[in-house]
Amino acid sequence: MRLFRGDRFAAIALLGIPLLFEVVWVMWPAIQSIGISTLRWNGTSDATFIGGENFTNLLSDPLFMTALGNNAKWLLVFGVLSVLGGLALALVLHEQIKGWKIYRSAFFTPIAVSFVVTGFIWKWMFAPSGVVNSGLGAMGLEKFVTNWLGDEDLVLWAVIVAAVWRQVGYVMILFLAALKSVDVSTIEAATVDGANYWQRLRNVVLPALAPSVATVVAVTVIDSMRTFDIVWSMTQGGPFNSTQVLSTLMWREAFGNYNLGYASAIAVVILLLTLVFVILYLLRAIPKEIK
Amino acid sequence: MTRKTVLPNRPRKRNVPLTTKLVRALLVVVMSIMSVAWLLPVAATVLTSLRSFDSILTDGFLSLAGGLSFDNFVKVWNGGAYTYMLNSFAITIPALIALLILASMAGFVLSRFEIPFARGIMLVMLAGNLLPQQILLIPYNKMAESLGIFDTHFAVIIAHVGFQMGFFTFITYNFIRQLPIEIFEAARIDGCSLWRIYFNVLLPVLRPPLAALGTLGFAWIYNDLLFALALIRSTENMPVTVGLLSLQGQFVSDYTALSASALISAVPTIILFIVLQRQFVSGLTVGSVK
Amino acid sequence: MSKVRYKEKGSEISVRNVAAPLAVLSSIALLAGCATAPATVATSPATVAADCATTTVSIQTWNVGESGTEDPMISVAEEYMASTGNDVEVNSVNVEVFRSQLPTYISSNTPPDGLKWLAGSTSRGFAEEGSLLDVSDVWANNMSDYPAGLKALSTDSTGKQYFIPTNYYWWGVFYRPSLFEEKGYSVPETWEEFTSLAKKMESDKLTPIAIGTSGAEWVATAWFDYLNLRINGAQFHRELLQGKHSFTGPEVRAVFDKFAEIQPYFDPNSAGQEWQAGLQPLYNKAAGMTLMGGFLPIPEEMADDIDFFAFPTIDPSIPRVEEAPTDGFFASANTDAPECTKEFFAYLSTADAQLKFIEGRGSQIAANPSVPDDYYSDLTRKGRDHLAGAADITQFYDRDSSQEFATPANAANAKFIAKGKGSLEEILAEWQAAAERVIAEQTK
Repeated sequence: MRLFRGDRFAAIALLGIPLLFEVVWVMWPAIQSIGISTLRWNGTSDATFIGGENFTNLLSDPLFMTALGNNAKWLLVFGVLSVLGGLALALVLHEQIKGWKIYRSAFFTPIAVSFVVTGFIWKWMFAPSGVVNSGLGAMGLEKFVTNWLGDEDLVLWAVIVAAVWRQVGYVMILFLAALKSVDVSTIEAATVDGANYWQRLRNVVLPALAPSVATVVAVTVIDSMRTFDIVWSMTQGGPFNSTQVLSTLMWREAFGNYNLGYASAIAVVILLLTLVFVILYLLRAIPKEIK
Repeated sequence: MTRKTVLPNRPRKRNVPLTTKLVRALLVVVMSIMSVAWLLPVAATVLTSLRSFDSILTDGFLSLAGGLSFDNFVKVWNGGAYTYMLNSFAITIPALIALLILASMAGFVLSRFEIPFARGIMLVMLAGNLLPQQILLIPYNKMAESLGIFDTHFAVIIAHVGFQMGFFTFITYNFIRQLPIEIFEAARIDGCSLWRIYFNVLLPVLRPPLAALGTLGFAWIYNDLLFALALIRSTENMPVTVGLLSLQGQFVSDYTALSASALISAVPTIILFIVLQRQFVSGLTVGSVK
Repeated sequence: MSKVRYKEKGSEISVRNVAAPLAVLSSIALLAGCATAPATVATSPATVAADCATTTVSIQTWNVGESGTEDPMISVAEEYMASTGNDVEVNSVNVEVFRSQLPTYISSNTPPDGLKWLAGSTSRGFAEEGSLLDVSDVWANNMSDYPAGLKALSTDSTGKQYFIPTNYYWWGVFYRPSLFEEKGYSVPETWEEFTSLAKKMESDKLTPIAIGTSGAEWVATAWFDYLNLRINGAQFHRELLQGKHSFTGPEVRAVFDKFAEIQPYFDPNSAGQEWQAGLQPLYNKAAGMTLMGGFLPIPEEMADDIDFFAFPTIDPSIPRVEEAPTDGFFASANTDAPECTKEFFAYLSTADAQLKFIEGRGSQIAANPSVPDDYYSDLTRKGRDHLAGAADITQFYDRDSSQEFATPANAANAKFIAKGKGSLEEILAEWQAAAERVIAEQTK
């Protein structure tokens, strides 16, 4: 469509204001953070330029290593469970077995609550006399009753359980929508050719789902790296730093210890870890037809 | 974007072999059990919120002893939940309105006019939404302080408007691209200015994606913790996400009160969910982000 | 009409906006009124009062956001203004805002005149660098009956006072007397008595030591503090917290040797429950004792059945030091109204003013010793005497060092109490490494 001469101003305003927001309130602060990561600064007195020293300090910081490890575990376990779990649920519900609408609502309900509320709910569930332990006791499985959130070896998995509980329904909905738009005639052709369910799945459905899977994986990776709310509300990184993740560590350094440079370095690390996936996602999302 | 086949994807009725029937029956059983397990935490929370703290201490979580009442809700409502909810709305509604207006404007211009570097601009905007929030927190904190808006709703609103702008624009952009160009051309021929086209032609048609974005956006902004936690300190300004953490400091191990506060805080999104589920889902599936 | 202008905002700008014009006004007033008055303490009250009626003392204080309660500073200021005709302005912000802006307040050219904060290394640090107003004359004229421990706390290394304490609370080992009577326990005074008491409690199927550290790992550090104070003394303790000794050294090892003796007696659920939940067994008489501050919540039905004893002696040659986190006031050295601020401080040091700070907070003790005995509950009075007899007072690990320095300590101690993974060597090595990092950051 052509721009009339008088429209130029309007167009600039219509696009310009949102773009200005984006640049001033997102891009510029992000660049600032990168800049701050090269400083030693407590927010009030003068900042000292120290180059990459924050990053080398990070590498020798055992807490940073713990956090990295936890994010990696999160990515693997949470990632696999929520993506595969969501996919499996979607495939099952797609078959529209009896009561499928009810099941769908059941799995989707957790999305209605925030991660903070999710963290709280599961905090009580895992409390020493909470639902999980009471339930185990009621089922005669007393030997599994334990201090879920107080045990360094178990607590991260407990938090992941809570996160998966909430995430699986969301992934399921995405895949359900994607499954709906798989070409029916191809499936029918495959059935006519004698393919059973698994063959149809492997050769027709999954390839058709590939773009959705890619998107879901990308978003899951990005969210795994920046997860904060649920860890913060459930454990705050404890007990004794066993559930520290990059974001909780960054928070503590920034707003607990006022090491803004160090904290920004952690934020930059999070950015770098997600960058590859961000770029991949973007390249997929924006169609090439735009000039 | 081409539209894929939208035929209902239901298996045709034909002679279903016994194995399939068995499998389906088994799946029903498994799904039923899983659904119960999935709803259990929420149900347990509802139950806990209706009981008294003492009865939990004596009888544990999985019992109905001690009678049920709404006392916890009243206690928590007066103990701060009311203020927190108000603050949440005071932040979410303005941010949402600003986002819907600005995103529809940007999407319109990007999709319907020959803008140089349109793809680049779109990339930049969407990238903003994918950055980890952590990279923005410290600068926001400092910017808010130097602008004198630290510890105000305004700071949080601006943060959300900036952060979500990309995704919102992306959605409106995709939608408007699919609209028949004729409606715009017709208006153009009539001599309408850009503003007129925007207000009188575009906005009425944009209702579906705006509804989807409004629903989804409400949930995201309402449920956000990080921006509010970084920018708000006084309890009278806290939205409900931060307020819950603060209530936890107050009620500590009084799970009955905390359950009640968690449920109260979830009411708006739950209502939104039930009433606008279709918009919610369509918002989620378009672009498949978050 | 009340002249208190009470603001509750988190914005820095509100303080600066007010302070600047006031600074001009007050300096004019001072010049006009005080130019001929001697600069020493012996200014007659009448002269000073005349100045302060037109000089506004600005007080920056903090609140923890308890909904429905007003900052007690307001009523203190109102009383003061009513009785003296002087002007005070109170600005109260959220404690976290205050904490993060404190360095700015102090270093500003137009600072608030008086600030409420905690005694401890932060305040002491400001004093040592000369940023705080010398208030020794307030001490000399108004506070001569204060306990020695509090005076030592408020004095810098040159012997000048910089801090006006207003209220504090004590730490002790709390227990239920009825339980002790029932089981035939007696209050331990030495370490040996303490450990054998714990052992007896264990064999009586009680949890000897109640504790919860979830979200509050500092509770564990109380044990470290006391063990260190009893074994190595206050001076070593303070130096350790300033990074002058190693956590892997023999002194800290000695602390952990004793710590290990009671390690089996802590509530095994410590890491999974908040500190309030950790007290529940004590209330239910399922646990025997707990090391806690006077702020320990006491359910009404137990009001007469809670008592405490001092942390047992380990080395009789080391004088008894107690922890008593203290709130109080100091002033910036840049203040434009030093005399009027000090006059307000003199008011703050009186029992009347301090009673307002502790009103409704049962475990707080006013710094002024002349508060009538019957004002306090029996328990609080015992706490006060317990502290009055101490040779020295420390402030708790995080106040004597810094929040940043305390975090690895809290994690290490909570881990030890919960019998977490890793040997003692590993725990101490990690603690030392973290401490070195913090010191390196702070000294650069």
